[in-house]
Amino acid sequence: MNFQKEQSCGSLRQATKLASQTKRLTKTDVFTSNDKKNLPFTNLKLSIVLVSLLSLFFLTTTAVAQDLTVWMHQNLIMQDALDELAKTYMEENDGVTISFESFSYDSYLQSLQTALPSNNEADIMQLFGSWVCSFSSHLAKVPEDIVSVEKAQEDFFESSIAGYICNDELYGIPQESNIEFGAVLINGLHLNRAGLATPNWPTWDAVRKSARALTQRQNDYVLRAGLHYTSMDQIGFSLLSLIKQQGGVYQLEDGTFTFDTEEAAIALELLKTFVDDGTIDPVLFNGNQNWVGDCIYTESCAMGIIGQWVIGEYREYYPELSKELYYLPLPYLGEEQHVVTDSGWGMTVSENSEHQDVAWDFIKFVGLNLDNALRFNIVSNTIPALKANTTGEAQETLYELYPYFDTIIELLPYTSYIGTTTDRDLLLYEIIYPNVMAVLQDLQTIEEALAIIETEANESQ
Amino acid sequence: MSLSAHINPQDFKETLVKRRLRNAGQKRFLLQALAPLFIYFAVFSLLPIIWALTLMFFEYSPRRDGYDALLGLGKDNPFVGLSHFKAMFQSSSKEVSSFHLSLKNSLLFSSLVLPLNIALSLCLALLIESIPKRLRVLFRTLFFLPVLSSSVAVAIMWGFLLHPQHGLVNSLLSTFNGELTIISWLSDPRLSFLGVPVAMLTVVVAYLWQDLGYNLIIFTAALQALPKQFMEAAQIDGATPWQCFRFIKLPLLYPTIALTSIFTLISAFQVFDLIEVLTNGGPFDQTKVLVLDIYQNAFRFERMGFASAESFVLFMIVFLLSVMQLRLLRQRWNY
Amino acid sequence: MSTIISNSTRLKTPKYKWSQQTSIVLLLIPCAIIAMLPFVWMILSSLKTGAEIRQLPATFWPQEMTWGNYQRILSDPRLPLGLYYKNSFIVASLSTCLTLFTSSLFGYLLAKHSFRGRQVLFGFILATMILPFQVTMIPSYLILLKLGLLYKLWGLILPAGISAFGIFLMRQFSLAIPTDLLDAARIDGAGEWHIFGRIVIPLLTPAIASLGLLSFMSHWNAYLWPLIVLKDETRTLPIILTWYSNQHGSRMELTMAAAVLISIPILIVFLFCQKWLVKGITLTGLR
Repeated sequence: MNFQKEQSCGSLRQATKLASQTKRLTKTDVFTSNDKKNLPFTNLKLSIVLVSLLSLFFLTTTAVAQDLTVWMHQNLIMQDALDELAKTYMEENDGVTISFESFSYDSYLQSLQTALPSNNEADIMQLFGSWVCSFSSHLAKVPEDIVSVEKAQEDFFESSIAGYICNDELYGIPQESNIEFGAVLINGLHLNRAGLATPNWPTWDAVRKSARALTQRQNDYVLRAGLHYTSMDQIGFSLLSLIKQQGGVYQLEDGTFTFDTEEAAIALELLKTFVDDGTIDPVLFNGNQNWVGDCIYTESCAMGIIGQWVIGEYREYYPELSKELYYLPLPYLGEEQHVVTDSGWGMTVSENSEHQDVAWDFIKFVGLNLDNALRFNIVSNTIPALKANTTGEAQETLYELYPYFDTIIELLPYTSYIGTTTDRDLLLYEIIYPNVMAVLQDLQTIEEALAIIETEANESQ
Repeated sequence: MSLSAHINPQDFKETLVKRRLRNAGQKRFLLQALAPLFIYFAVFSLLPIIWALTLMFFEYSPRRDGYDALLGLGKDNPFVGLSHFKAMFQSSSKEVSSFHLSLKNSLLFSSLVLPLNIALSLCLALLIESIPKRLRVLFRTLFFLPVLSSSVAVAIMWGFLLHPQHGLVNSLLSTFNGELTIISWLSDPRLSFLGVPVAMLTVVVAYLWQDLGYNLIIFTAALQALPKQFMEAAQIDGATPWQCFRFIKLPLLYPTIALTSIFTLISAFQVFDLIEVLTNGGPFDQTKVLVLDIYQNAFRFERMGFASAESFVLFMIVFLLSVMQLRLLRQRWNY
Repeated sequence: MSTIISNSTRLKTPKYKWSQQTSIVLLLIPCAIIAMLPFVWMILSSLKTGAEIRQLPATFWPQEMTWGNYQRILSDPRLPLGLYYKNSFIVASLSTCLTLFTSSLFGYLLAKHSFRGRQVLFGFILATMILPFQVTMIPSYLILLKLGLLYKLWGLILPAGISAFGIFLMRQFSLAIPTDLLDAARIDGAGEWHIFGRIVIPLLTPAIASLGLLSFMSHWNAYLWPLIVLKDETRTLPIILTWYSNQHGSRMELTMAAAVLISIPILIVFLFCQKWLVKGITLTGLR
């Protein structure tokens, strides 16, 4: 992968350094060019002032070290990707050092919640898009000269950028699209062993049929689940997407949640048929036990609903098995495919950072430069957030490396952002997940579950 | 200190001077030693307590701004008086029902742990106490090992032991049954035994496994300290070992048992690590204990005010238990 | 072995018959096996291959012993175990040293020196002693935040360096020191610090040893507090273990090997100190 060296103009210091190369006429440019000319004696006074000003400028700027700290969640391949890009950036920009600090997913959110208000945070924070608006009061807006809101909405997929736009202002740059529903990860080995061809699913009945064929049971126990869809994110996004596919809504214009609807009931009934068919036992296979990623890789599941990022995370440990995995698109309820998604991980800048200009310049380098953004996606096994990187040459590169990307990238036009809820984790993990699980385990009727979800979701706001 | 009675005035004067000097020295020492210690204690022990007591009257999240920069109270973190406590009794919101549930679970957990722990550790202590010293030390060491290990490692170990497909427990069961048996010890909400969810029982077993060693050591020491002549006298009178235990050892052990019970209860109320790693409160909050709920409210859902109020309830429970413990301690000292 | 048993039985406890002792030992052996089983299973699992771990039903003895899991963990550049050992060691030892110093000094002052407010202060200390940590966890976190100590090892050490229980314990033991002894030293012209260092501390040594071991153990194994206040390179072993286990949920053989590496060394060290630990526990009842 070759890097297109982008000349930065974010920081004044770099501008001064690169003044002779860049065509742009900044203030410093004028000074430098004046400096180089033979100074007219009549302007001696002025030139002395200029020179001293200039040297003062240089002195002060070199005195301020441009050390940027980046906070991110603990994700090894994303760290690798950012490390690589940061290294290149530092080579190109003398005097800038970028260091990364990582938190485990659980403690990251909590650290942000406490660090941001007390001005204790890093310069740059890699945030999950769906979190951004809940922190926006402490974040810096993306400067117009980096990218405008309109331009960003044009360049990025709607579902990826939407989380970063709060009250029509842009607060960060997404680096990936995060799709958890709409496609199924399948282990081709199981398919071969069962003597089945790669299925094509026009309807959900067809999916169930495949799932049944791939399920392995013994003495009433599901030894291998046909289709694992009962993890926390998956339950949530399945329900929301299936509602949307039928033309329904889960959140009204005024922000009230509405789950006690016919569409939601149909969605849950559909989800429950897989349990009734015996293709999965939600007691054995769920978000806490035999989690879908683990399940696929320990070959306890033939198929699972999960984003492609899981392949990136597990590839190192299962190099052989990873080659056998690919994605199949799911059918949809209603007229058109529709997948509800989060806005994925991306970069934001703290309002308190002393080096906002450098920070944005780095983010521009990482997230807006097409080649670098693609490089990030390749190393971290993520789906591009930039539309341009899912077409043409970029697309070819991606498909060559990761053939299974095509199914997911084809879903991108049909995605929509989950919406700005006060606490997305609360909604998905504490309200939807347990109640839907209770339905799947026959502890609660569909009507009861939907009523509770609706009440609790609205209470939480 | 009785100084010699016959001292001449000169010496007496000297001692007075010395004493004054000494007092001055003691005062300086007090100042030198106590002042920093007190500040240290105040910052890291007293301040958190006062702060905690304050927070429970507020609707507080560190994310919101308050009037003062230090505590961040007021404004968006408003004073709500006793409304958290009122809510605990009246409201039916999710956080309150979760609090009720976790309090109930904590009570259940502690009331299961206490009798089982005391009974098992006492039995083991009696058995261990009656064998020769070398073997005694060996067995005590074996039972003590789990106490030494970190509860995180214990939780991970037990999690795998109980894994439905790949765990040892189900594998052993399958061997005994002669057919494949898969039980979800930690995630099946429908299983219960005598009205107690199986997940809760499983957590209790794992906790007991780690915790038994403590009481075992206390009981073995107590048994060894019992006056030997009673037992010998009883034996001469032809008492059976059971009678010996029931009528001599047990009554003598009562104070120790009472005290140990309270320590056991207090630590059972504060259980967190094991449950957080093993089940994280699931399935369906069946193992969600009070501290887990406090932790989630405070650090996950930013309801620090309510979490503080919950902590106060926990404090009151532990406080009452501690008062009982101090009573018993006093009794033991008299005894 | 049987001769030893019978000999000692005759010598020390004539009341029990030889056969009775054997049956008790026979009763204890299965108990001990059950108690050891989780450890044994952990070690055996760490020696299995990934394929064997995923077998159903699970095997007990490894079909094919392998050290590969350990090699893999020890050579994992993303898991600098040495660093985390160092962190854990620094935190546990410094917290323990601080606790011992503050506890013995504070306890001694409370027991042997009179000053205004002594009783009130002691009352406060008693109150903090019975206070569950979870109550003060939130404010303690905020205090560290304001002091700028969050995410630093010192942020873990400093709050742990003063323990109400330690103070209480040392006060009780200091009460037993005869005041005459201290006065005699004073008359001999010894300074107060000298008295504390040369007379009080040696007299408190048994209590210090027990408190020290218990406090080292609890800091070494601490989970909740370090989970909240540490990140990155400052993490301690229990935090790393949960992280590793979450990261490798599907590779139990690796997780078990990590658990062995992280818990076994310290178990061995503690075994050597068992005598004092046992003394400490019987002395204090502390958990």
